[in-house]
Amino acid sequence: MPPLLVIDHHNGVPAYRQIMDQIKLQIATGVLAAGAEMPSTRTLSADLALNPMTISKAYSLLEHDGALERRRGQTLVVRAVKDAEGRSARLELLRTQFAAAASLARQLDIPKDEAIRIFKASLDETQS
Amino acid sequence: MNPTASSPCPPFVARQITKRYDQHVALKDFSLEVPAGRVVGLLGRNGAGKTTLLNIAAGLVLPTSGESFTFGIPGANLDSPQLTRLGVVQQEGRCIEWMTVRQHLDFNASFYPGWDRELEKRLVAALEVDPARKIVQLSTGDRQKVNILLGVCHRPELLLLDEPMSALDPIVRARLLDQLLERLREDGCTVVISSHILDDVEKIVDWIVGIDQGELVEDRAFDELQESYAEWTLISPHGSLPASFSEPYILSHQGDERQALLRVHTRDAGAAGRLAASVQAEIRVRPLNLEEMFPLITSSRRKA
Amino acid sequence: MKLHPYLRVLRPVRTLALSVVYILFVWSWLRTFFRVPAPVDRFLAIALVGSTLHGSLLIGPLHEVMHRSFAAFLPGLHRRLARWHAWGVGVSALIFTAVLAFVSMEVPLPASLGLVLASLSLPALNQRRRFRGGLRLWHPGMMALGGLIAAFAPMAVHRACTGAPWLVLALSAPIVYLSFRYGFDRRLTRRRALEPVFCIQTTILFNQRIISEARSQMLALTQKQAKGGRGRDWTVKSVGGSTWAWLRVQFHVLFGRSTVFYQVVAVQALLYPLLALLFPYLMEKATHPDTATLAGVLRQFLDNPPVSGNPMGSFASIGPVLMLSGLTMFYAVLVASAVPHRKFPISRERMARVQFAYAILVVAANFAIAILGASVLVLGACVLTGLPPGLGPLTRMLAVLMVLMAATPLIMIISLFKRALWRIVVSILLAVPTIPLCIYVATSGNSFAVSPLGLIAFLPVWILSAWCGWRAFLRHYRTADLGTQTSILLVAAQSGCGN
Repeated sequence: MPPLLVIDHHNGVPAYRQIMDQIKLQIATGVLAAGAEMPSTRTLSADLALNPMTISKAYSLLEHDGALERRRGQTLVVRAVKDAEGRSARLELLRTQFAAAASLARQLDIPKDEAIRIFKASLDETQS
Repeated sequence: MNPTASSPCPPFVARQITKRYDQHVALKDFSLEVPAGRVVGLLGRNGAGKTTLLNIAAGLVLPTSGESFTFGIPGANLDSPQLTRLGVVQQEGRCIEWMTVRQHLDFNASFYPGWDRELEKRLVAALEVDPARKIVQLSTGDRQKVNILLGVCHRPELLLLDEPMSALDPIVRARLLDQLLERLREDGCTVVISSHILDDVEKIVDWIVGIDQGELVEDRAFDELQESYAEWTLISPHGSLPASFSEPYILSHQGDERQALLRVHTRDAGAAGRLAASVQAEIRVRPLNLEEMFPLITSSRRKA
Repeated sequence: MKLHPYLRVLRPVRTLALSVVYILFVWSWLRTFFRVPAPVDRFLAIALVGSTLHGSLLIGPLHEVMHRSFAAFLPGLHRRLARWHAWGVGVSALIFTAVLAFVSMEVPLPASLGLVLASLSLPALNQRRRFRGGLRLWHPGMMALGGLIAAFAPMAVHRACTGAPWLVLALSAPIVYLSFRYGFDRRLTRRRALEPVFCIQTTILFNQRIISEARSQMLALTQKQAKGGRGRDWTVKSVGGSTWAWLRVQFHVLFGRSTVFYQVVAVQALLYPLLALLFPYLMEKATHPDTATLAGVLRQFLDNPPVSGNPMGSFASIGPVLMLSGLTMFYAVLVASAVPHRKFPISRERMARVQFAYAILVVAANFAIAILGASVLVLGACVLTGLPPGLGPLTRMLAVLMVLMAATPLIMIISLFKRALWRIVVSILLAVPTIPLCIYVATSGNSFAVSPLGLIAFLPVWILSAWCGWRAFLRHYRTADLGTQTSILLVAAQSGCGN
């Protein structure tokens, strides 16, 4: 199953960056399991209606970051990562999201402990 | 295999070209290199010199001074070997008006050894052109489609597109973009496209060349450009923002002491944080799309 | 080599038909007007003038291709066109030489072939250069050259061909070479690709869409040349509010630089007298095949003899007058009534006023042209017949024009009727009194119309018909869809799209 990617051409984030972020997220959430094959540059560029150069840039950066690796000739697959490594990647994703929330909290002048309480509450909400 | 791999020289090179029309200077000391496989978006306001540059690349117009090379050959000497590899779609291309679309396609096809009938058929269907109609009976949009057909069906290595879709509706434009992407995938051709329909340009280009008043103002990868232009929103509940900012990368500023909207041009990832800290404000960073970048790109020279 | 695309571009049927018409026309003119004696006229008509015309018919469609924007990018276009043209010229030369072998047996074949080849390939040298204001020099130049040869050296050409046939053939070689060498010069590619050309095979059948296309392309080019690449917007701020100012804008838009206007006037003033002479002559020839000569027709025209009995019996004396005034007024009506609707930022009432003023001016200008043409005709006739000039023909002409002047505003508005039936009815209603009146005025030699009393009598008629015309214009412009219609004949005259 190829990764389901949605590119917004109009939000100003470079397309290669959107691809990278989405694939990383899918790896971190386990949607893309280790060893899963990525579609070829040609196929993905046809699917997403994107310049093939953009796809190959995203792929090579993902390879560089260690999210993907080349195997059996030219096929790109999701690299199997150690638990600790995967955990730190997941935390990193959460951290970026949380930085924005923290900034908003400061703007709204919400005290630290209250913000933490809200975050805890929303964690409970999604669990139930 | 890949035709571009066999040509060592970049498809188009301009070296310090100046083009003058009577009093009017269309291009001024303009240097540019378009390497193979690149998809260049040519940005500039009306009369900036985009069409002149494309015409020079096509050998239709010669520079007043300086040199231009297409496939390594000076623009004045382009001949069959180069022309078969070149595809041009002009903004207001004039066809042989009395011919039907079919006749015109056949006529042009007879000049190219590599005219792709299959591609032609697909494009005719995708662009919804009626091959039985005479050119003279066609609307502006349909003539534009014919120009595209005539410029693309021989699968050129270098494709010069001057406002190729200004008169096309969104559905046909989307199909055209799909077809262009297919050309990129299959032929790996080099494309230089000038268009004011930035939404569409955004989807295919990987490089941006900005022209303003005949001068080169931007020549950079599109990704890089997207990462370097941004809109920063500074919010200070205490009203601690200064009336103006002295940082050189800030291109525009509006707001008051509590809130400020900045358009910036910097590749320094830490700059936003530092600025926020220096004025004790919260900062929100939003990337800009091409339409929002356009005025910043095409007038940066004037600002400086 | 694939000749299929060549034939597609050339349109051989049209080319051949035009060629035959041209040659017959040239032949009749050489015989009648230039009075070239019998065996020589055939030879010159085919080998020299006809071949040149045929050559320009052959090259026209190729020029049309060269003068398209994609022409600069088609690989090997010029070489291929040159090869195609070589075929066209070669085949035509064989046919022409074969025809000459039968109709001009006295001329040796090498001379025929040489002259035909040179004449066929010469028109390739036409660079289709279009000077500012749309002036072209090639065709007037060629016509003048042809006229000079036909008038002064027809026998010399013939004698050279019969006397030194191989020399003629040898001399033709460099002409053919130079024509092909410079006619398909790649250095001209760029200029050619930027300037539109329409050949006569394209425009011949009055295909209005093509012609209006040609017109708009020519106008765009004219404005580009005049403004250094920038178009121009007409606003009330830049033009002003007066009808007269907008009238000038209209003239500018239609004619670009005023040289075009003078060109049109000159062509009319010279061409119409010739046409006006041709038809009476042909009619005379048809009715009195033995006695009819051009000089006879001219003499009758100058003599102004009193006509008794059947006025049409002596068409020679009144024909030129009727033809000339009819032609000019017909042209004026066509031009004035088929003005393109332009989207000027002015009210519909003012638009009507501008267009009506324009129409009146065109009619007045053509009135003057008709007088000019008549003077040319009278002077030419005097020179050719040796008779002293007289005012008779001019007086009759003036009288006919005065009648026509009354009718023109009404003729003009015929095209404004939307229903074809109404157009026909009004045309008949107008023709019934006008035509007999014109013939009467032309034949009777009655000078009442041109006397002061006649002038006073005609004045209310003019005013009445002009008022009718004005009301119709006003009504039309109040209700018409603006920006859709384009004119027909003006285009052909102005854009020089004919061959």
